[in-house]
Amino acid sequence: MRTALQIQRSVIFAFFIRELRTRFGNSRLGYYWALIEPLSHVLVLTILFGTLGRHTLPGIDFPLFIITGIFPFFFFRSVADRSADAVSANRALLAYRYVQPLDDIWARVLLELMIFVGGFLSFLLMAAYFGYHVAPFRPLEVLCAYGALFLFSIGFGVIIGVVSALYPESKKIFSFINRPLYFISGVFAPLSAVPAEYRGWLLWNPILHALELARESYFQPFRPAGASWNYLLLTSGLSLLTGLAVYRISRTKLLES
Amino acid sequence: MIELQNVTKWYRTKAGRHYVFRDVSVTFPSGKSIGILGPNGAGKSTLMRLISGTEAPNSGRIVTNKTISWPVGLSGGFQGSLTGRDNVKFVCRVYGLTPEEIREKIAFVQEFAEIKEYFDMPVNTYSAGMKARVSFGLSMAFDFDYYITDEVTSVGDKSFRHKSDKLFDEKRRNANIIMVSHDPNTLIRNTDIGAVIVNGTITLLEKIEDAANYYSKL
Repeated sequence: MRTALQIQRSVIFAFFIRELRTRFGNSRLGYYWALIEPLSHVLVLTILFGTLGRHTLPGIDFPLFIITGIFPFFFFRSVADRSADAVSANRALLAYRYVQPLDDIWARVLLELMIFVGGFLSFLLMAAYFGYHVAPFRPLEVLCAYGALFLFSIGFGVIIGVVSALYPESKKIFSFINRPLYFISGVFAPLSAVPAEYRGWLLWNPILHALELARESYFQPFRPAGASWNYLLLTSGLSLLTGLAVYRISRTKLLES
Repeated sequence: MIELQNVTKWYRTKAGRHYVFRDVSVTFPSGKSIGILGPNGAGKSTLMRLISGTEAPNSGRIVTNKTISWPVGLSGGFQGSLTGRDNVKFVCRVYGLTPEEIREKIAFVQEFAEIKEYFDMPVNTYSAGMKARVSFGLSMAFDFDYYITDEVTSVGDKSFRHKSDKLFDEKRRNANIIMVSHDPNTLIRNTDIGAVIVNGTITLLEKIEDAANYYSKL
């Protein structure tokens, strides 16, 4: 007999391999796409805002500033996007008794995490090669901020996956919310560049907190503008808790075919 | 042995809870093939899903020390964009097989299905018959104590049907089946004991003939 943990591991592994195949296709080129998209963002944003960045972010290399924001943001966006049909698309697989409704979400999160780590590190290496100073100022706090954002993303992903499996129309609402987030999460500008009277509104967004705090810990000269660890950790915890609660409540319903 | 202990199962409908089973306890003895009888909507497929572990009861427990298959010939779980081979691999991995075992299963399914180069093509290019060949082969590649099946197990042309019947019969020497059917004669031919579902209860009869008789008098 296999233990529950062994079963869970092999199911997630099975989904993981499948996600790898569907996400990247069978060609090697697929893997490069995971790097080309962030690369294009870094290049375009550097061209657009690079000179501006020299004034608002004195002492910080703008491309590095983008890299520290784009990868965690893409992680959030991908998890949110790809969780939306992770539960509903795999309902037929529940006939294999070891498969549980959330297993594909865990596999996708794992895959996105690997894309994050792989992409982030290779971009840092690339930046180091071009002579940038890439070492973070306080690495553990950077990890902490990213970790909190991951927990937030996972909880959010579970909520989206479960809710859109139960109410398919809600998928549209989620992708609608998702779209403008790129512009209000501080991916390409620090909060300090925003006039003070608008900051309060933007600070409702936990992703902005995560990116600001990560940058504050990454770059010594970065000037924080109101992001709070308490808020980030609280919203991450709440997101995860809500996600798991939503799943627990609707589990029986999700299993019904 | 498969034991249902105080199993209650309901579904939420617009008119409130619809109870399929209310506090049902029944023990299926080992080594017997089970035929499940009942009118439409009585809960035959719900019972199958509960036994196979796809669905959980709202209260109560289902206890067994036997391995129970997914519905034989199930192809709904195939991912259309992936090849037959990758789909077979997926199921093998879900069941935690080692790479070596996976190779064996793949070889078995590939040989049994006889779909040649299509085995390495995306499943959504398959005809219904090809899909059925792969999924039946996949079910037969695994050894279970119980195979769950509905009336139509064999598909395809005559020679393929003959081949799959023969294989299934071979499997059944060491395994039992759990079968749902409206047709008592099919069940009498294939199963030993009968479970009749009426009004949210399950009546177990030691002989499938008796069960069929009982059912026809309802």
